[in-house]
Amino acid sequence: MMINCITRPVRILTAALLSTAAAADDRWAIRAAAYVDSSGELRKGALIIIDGGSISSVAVDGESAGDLRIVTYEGAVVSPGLIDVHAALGADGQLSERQSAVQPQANARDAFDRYHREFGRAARAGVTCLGLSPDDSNLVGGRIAICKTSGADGGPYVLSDSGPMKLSLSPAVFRRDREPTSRGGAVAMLRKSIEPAWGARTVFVATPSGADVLTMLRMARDYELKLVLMHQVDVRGVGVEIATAKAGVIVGPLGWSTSPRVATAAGLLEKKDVAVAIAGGLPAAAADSLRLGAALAARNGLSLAAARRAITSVPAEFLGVADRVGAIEKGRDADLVIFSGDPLDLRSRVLAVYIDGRLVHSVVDSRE
Amino acid sequence: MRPTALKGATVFTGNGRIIRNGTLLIQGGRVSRVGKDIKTPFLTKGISARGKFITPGLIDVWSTLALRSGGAGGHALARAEDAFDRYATHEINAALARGVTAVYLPARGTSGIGGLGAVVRLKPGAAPQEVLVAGEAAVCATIGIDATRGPLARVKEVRDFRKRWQTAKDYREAREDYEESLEEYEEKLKKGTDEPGKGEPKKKKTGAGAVAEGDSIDGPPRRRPRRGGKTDQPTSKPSEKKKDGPKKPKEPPRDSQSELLLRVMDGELPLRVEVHRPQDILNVLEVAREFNLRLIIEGASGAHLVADKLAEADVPVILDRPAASMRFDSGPRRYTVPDAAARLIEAGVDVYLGSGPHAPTRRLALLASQRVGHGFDQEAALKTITSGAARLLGIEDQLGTLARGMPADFVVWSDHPFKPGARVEKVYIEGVQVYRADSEP
Repeated sequence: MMINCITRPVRILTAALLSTAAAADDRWAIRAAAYVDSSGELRKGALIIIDGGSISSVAVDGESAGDLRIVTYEGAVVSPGLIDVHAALGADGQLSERQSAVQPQANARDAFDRYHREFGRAARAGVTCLGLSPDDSNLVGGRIAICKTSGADGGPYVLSDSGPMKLSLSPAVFRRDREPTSRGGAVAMLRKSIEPAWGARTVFVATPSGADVLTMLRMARDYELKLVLMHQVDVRGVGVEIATAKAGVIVGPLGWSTSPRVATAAGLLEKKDVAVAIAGGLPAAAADSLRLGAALAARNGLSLAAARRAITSVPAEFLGVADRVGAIEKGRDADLVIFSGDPLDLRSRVLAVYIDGRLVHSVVDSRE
Repeated sequence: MRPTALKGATVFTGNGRIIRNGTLLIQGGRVSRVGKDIKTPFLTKGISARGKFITPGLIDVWSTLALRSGGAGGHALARAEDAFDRYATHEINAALARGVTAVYLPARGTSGIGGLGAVVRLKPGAAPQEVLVAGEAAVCATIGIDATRGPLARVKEVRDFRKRWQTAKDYREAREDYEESLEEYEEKLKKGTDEPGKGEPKKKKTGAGAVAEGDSIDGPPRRRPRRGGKTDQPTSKPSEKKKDGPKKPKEPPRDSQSELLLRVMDGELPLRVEVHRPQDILNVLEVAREFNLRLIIEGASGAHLVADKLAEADVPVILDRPAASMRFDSGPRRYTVPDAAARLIEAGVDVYLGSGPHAPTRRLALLASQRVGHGFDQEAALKTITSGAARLLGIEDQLGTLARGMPADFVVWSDHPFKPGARVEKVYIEGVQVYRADSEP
C-alpha cells in the first residue's frame, strides 16, 4: 500500500531491465527527460552512456545509441549523485580525539565503518558521496576522508583518504583541560603546527565569527593554503574579504528552523562570486537534508543553478575529487540519481540511485 | 479608501478554485470580487501581478510564534493569548516573509492539560483585540512527550489524564445533586416558614451558610481540630440543633478547571492532544470516546499505524516537520515516517500541517511541498494550509479563503508556492501591505 502511493505517478517504460542494470562492466545508457549539467542548469533530453562504472559520454537525446541497452526514465531528471561535503556518517562522535587540540596525523579514514546502516539510508536519499570529517572540537582535527555510500561489492568504500585538513576556531576548541585557552594561543598553535608539511593544501576551517575569518585569511596568505570556510554564521560583514581571497564557503546545514539571516547567506555570497557548497550534516540531520538545504537557499536568493551545484560539483571541488564525482561529464564516475523532477523541488522523489554505474536503490524494483 | 485591483495573477482562492489570469479586487480591507474579467469601479488603483501567484494568507495550525518563555501552558486555566508577545516583530516578520498571516498557539505544559490555545493574526502594530482571532480555540494537552521520564511515567500520565476527565464528570454530578437538593431544601424551607415561627429558619440558614463558607478559602480562619476530634463539638452542636428542621445542602467548591473541561465534554471546545506512539494515540482515543470529546491529535508519530482507528473515530491529525535526524531515535518520535500524510489520507483521516511545538512558524509552503513529494496530493496540501486550516480552527468564516466579503489577507508569490525558488513578494492583511520582499534586512 505504501509503496503504491509513492510510485503511483511514476511511469517507467523499461522497468524490467532495471534488475539487469546492476552489472557494472558493460556498456549501456540511461535516457531521461532532462539532466543537471555541469553548470547546474537543467538541460532537456539526456542520453547518458555508461561504460564500466563511469560516464563514457553525454549525448543529446534523439541521437542514436546504436544497439546499446537503454534504461528509460520517462519525465525524470538525472542529477549527479549528491555530495555531503561535511558529514560524520557511520562515525558520529568518533572522528575527533579530545585529548589534544592538534591532531594533524589523524585521518577520518580510520573511523570509517563500512558496515554502518546509515550509509544505505543516505544512498537511498540520493547522497552518493561524502566528506567524512572531524568535528569542530579540535584546532587541527585531521584529514578528511572522501567516501562513497556504496560500491562495486555493494558496500561503502573510501574513495580518497587524502582529503582536506580540518581546522577549527570554534568555541568548542577551547576547553579547561587542555591547550589552547585563548584565541591568541590558538592561532599561535595553529601557525606552529602548519609549518611541517601536512600534505594537504586545502583546509576546511570552522570560523564562527568574522574575526576568525580574517585570521584565517591572513594565515592562508602566509602559508599558501586553499581555504574553505564553514560554520560561518555572519557572512554579511566579511563577504568582500572572502571574495577577494577567493576562499570557498560551506553553508549549513540548513533546516526547518534556520533563521532567515543564515538562509540568505548563500545567495549573498553567490552575488559576490564566492563558491558555495551546502552541507547536509549527516547523520545529525535527516537523509534528505541536502536537498532541503539547497531548496531553502534557493528560496532565499541563491540561483537555482548555484543551488544544484552547491550539493554536487562544488563539494566535489572542495574535497579535491572533482575529477571523479560531482558532475555528469565524460570520464566521471557514474554516480547518478534519477529524480521524478527537479532535484531542488521537494515534490520530486528519488526514483533510482546508481553508484559507479551500479543500481543501488530503485523504487521501481520494490513495486515488482 | 480607493479600491485596489491586483491583475493578471494566478489566484488560488483556498477552497480549491484556481483562477488563471485573474483579478483580485479589494475594497475597505475586504475582498470585493475575485475572478476573471472583472470590471473595476471608477478610481480603482490597478497593480499588475502578471505571472505572479496569489494565495490566501497561510495559516499555521500549530506554532509557538512569539510565545514568551517557552510557551504558555501547565495549568488548565492558562491562556496562550496571554503569552503571545505581539511586539516580537522580528519573529512576526519572519513568519510574514514565509507567507503566514495567522497562527494557532498552544498553551502547552509538559504533561496533561495545558490550557487554552489561541488563534492570532500577525498584523503588525494592531490593537490586541484586532490581533486576537480566537482566545478559546481549543483545550490543549500533551501525553507522553517527555522521553526522559521512562515508560511507567506514560502509564501514569494516561491514568491522570483519564482521572482528570472523570473528576470533571463527577464534579458535574455533584453540582447537579447539589442544585437538586438545594431546590428541595428551599421548597421545604417555604413549607417550614408557613408552620413555625419566622425567626428560626432564618437563623438556621445563616448557620448552614457558615458551614459551607468554612470549607472555602475565603472563610474565616478556623482552628485545626485536635487529634482527638472532640474540639469539633462547637461546630457540630448547631447542626445537632438543626436536626429537626430542613438541612441546607453543602455546595461543592467551585472547580474552574473542571468547568472548562465540561465545556469540552459538551462539544463547545475541541481538545487538542500532542501525542506520539501508536499505543498512546489509542489510549487517548479511548478516553475521548469515553468522555465524548471532540479530539484533534498533534504530532502523531506513528499515527499511520493506527490510521483506521483514527478514521473510524473521525479524529483529524496535525503533522509537523518530518524527522530532523537520521540517527536512531528512541524518543517519542521514533515512529515518524516521511509519507505519514499520504498514508493517513488513504485511510480516510483528515491531515493538517503545522510548524510544531518547538518552533516559531516554519516555512509552511516548503513543508507542504515536501509532503507532496511523499504522496500528499498537491491541491489538498495547499488547501490544508489555507481554508482547511481555518476550518480546523473554526474560523473559516473569518480567514483562509479569498472570496467576496472575506478579509483581504493574502500573499503574492513569485511562482507557484511549491516550486523551487518561489519567493513571497508581498503580504497583505486586511488589504494593507504588511510585508515586501526587498524590505527584508
